[in-house]
Amino acid sequence: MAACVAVVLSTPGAATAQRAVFFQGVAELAEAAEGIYGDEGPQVLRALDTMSRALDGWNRGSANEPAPGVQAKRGLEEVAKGTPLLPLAVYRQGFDQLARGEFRPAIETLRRAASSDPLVTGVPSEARRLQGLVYFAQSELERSIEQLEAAIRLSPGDERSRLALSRVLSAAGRDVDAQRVLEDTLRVIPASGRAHWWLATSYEHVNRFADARHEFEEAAANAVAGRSYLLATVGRLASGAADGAGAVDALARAVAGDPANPAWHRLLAGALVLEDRPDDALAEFAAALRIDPRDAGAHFGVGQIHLNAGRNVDAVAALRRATELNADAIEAEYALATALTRLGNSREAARHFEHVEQVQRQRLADRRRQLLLDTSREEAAVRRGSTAR
Amino acid sequence: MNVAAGRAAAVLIALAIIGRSDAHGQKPAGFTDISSTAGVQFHHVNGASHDKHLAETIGSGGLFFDFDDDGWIDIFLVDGGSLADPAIARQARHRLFRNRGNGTFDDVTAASGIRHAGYGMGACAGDYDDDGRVDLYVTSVGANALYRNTGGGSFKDVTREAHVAGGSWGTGCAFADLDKDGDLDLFVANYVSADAARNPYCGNARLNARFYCHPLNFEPLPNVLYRNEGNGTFTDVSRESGIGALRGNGLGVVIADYDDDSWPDIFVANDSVPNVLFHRTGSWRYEDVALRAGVAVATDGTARAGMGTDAADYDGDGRLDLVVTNLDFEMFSLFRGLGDRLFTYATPESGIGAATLPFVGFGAVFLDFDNDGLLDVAFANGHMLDNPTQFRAGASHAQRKLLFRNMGSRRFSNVTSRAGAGFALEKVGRGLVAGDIDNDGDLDLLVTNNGENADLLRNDGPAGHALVVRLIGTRSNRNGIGARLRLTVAGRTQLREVKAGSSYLGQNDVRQHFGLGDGTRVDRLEVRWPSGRVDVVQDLPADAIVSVREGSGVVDRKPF
Repeated sequence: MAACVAVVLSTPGAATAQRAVFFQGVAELAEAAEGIYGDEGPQVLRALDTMSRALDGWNRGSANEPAPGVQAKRGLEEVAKGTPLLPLAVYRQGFDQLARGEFRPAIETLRRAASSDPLVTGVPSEARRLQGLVYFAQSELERSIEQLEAAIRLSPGDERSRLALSRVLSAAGRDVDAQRVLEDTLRVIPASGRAHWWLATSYEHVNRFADARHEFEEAAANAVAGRSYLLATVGRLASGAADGAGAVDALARAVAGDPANPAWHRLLAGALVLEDRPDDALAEFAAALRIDPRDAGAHFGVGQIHLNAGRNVDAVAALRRATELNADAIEAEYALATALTRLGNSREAARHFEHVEQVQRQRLADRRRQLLLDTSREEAAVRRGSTAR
Repeated sequence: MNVAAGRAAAVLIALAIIGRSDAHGQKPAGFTDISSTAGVQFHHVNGASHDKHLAETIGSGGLFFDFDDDGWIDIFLVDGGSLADPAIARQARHRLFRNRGNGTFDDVTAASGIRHAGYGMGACAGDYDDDGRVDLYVTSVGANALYRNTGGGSFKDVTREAHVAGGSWGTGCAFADLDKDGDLDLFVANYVSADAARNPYCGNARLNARFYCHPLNFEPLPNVLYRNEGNGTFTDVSRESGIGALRGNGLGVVIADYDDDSWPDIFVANDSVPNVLFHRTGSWRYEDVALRAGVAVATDGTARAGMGTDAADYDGDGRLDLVVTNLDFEMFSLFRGLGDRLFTYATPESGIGAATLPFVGFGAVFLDFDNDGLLDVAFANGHMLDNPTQFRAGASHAQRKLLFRNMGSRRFSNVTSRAGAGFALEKVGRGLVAGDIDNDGDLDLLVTNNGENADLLRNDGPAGHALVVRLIGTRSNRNGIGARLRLTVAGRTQLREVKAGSSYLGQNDVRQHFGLGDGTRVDRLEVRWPSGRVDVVQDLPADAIVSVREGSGVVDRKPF
């Protein structure tokens, strides 16, 4: 392994590889700092070492590379692929430096942060937190809660214990208590992006949509990367609150933050359709298709806009492509049938309508069956309750 | 005039100008709830119980009709009842209010002979026996009832001899002359088969959170079509007509000639299953063409929870359009007629999409509330669940109504916040019907609310000129139900079709109201009667209620 690293470091043009290693180190640091298993302290230090070594090699690379800030953005968005990058408050300053491309100072800041991190130092509260996690894994939720509360008493600034406690309370069905813990966390650690995120999710879970939207905005503001995921959620919540302009604004920010992701373009296009801005929507669907020509949802969106505008030939072309790419998309097939009808091709339209009707009937039957199952289950629970009384 | 008086006059003029226009230069609507002062005091008995019988949250409706033919529209309100407690059920009472013509109403229920039975849902009115008096049909959970208007403020229950009791769960209904034989036939939508004795538990038993069940928890029901035999009886022709072959969760009904072939077609808003559009294919034969026409489902190909509905030509292209209210997070559905028996889902382009997302809609009415010559649209809203926060925090059982002003070019603008105190009321809205209660040339509204008082909203907003047309059929049915009117003023033609049943469990005033904007004379009024006869009136002065008799033209004119 050491030999391999040495080869990478000494190979001409190794800057790209070193950049990848560097951000791999960042990803490992982000993951280890979560501290889910309790033994990640050494991993934090190893990740920082990896970053240092990679940075040494990277700095010997080509001078023609993009500016550090640009590379930082690309690298961190890659790290945040799938989940927003919301480092714990103790590491926040270092990650902010990383995001600005100040790599060397960032590593120093992160090392200083690690030296005071309970995960690395193993202060007494950490033992309680780990015990709490063990109980949680064993589904002994009350014991887990006791241990985590003890950890917080010992170390009130321990963000991990606070977050873990909220998670366990939520698992115990105590959503209100979980929310209270997160709200307390934000009073003690206002920069806890993760507390904002989890609180947002929790609020949404109990349908406090306005509060959830606010917290998702706060989480987005605190995210080092992956902000677009959070902004897309803000857009969805804005839409649900009939705030079409708010939805467009949030989704436009999501696109701006991560323009290479077709999903954000597609979502923005959908919001623009609702705002009756079909031309702008068409441009966003087109942007999504430039990134991923096989995006069935974007083809459907294009077809729908053409259909609404009476451009039935264009609609058929786009909707055919959508149905080819996703045969299960009855919304596209319904629109295709509609467009074909308007073009007078009633025979082919009938075939598609028939299929749409079949799928509709099947879905309704499935829905009915599920509702009846739910009812049976609840009625059984009521009967059990009556018997117990 | 002295200086002080001059200044005061200037201020008053300025205030008047400000008062007539808002920041956008549009006239405010100004609907005022006058139900108390007008004497329309009605509290709906919904019989809400721990058992959560679905009927408790579905009803009830009401209508405007001129039962005493005095030229002032009266009010009928349907009361619910109770499926859980007979003592509460006995408190329920349908109510008939007679318009005294002076802004007040008399409760004349006791003398009317109208009795409450079962659990009341909706109503529609039509002169089925062509005796010049408007009769009343009331739908219920259980048997429906037909009340024959015998004159003098009295009604007689003729359900049994007319053979129109139904017996399942009647909801929306509508009278129309479906075979153009001069008498009114009857269509009744049915909802679901729900046995009160076997009411399922829906919700979360662990959290002790019980909700009203989703309609898909129950079996859907077929609708019923009654043919008027012209002798005081009806025949159930559901089976042979094809109507009965389809089962749905029917609520709102509107009968209108959507394809302008001169034969009425039937649209039913279905709750959580695709809507149906019964197109007449032959003598007493109908085929559901909703999916192909583009009105069965929303743009994503899936069914919405259809509640109330109305049909009108809101974009002035001479084709009927449809509106359907839906659940929250579904958006209400606006289907714009394209011709060739096709519609397009016009919700996004119309501006009513995002604005209706948070609402559970029921009543739906196209109306020209500001008399500018463009049809606006109003909705009554209220959640299905009486404990919605247990289901979705932030949700509200009581909700405000919505008013959208037609801005032209197929766009509506949400003007609810400027629609007056009557629109600001947050209630559990269900029915919504329009009519000119004070004969002043603008449309007022009646809103029914589940478990709450009904609202009578008087339109006090400044408005343009108008014409109200009352039809008197001779060869056609007496009130001209199904007649199509085309009014032209200043080169623009407006279309109306006379309907006896629409919105949610209710019916508008059958007189046809036209806003004329600045127009003081109508260039042309054409009436195409169900009989096929066409009457044309030229150069008609505005600002009056005119009576048009089939074959005779204008026979009466009463200025506002």
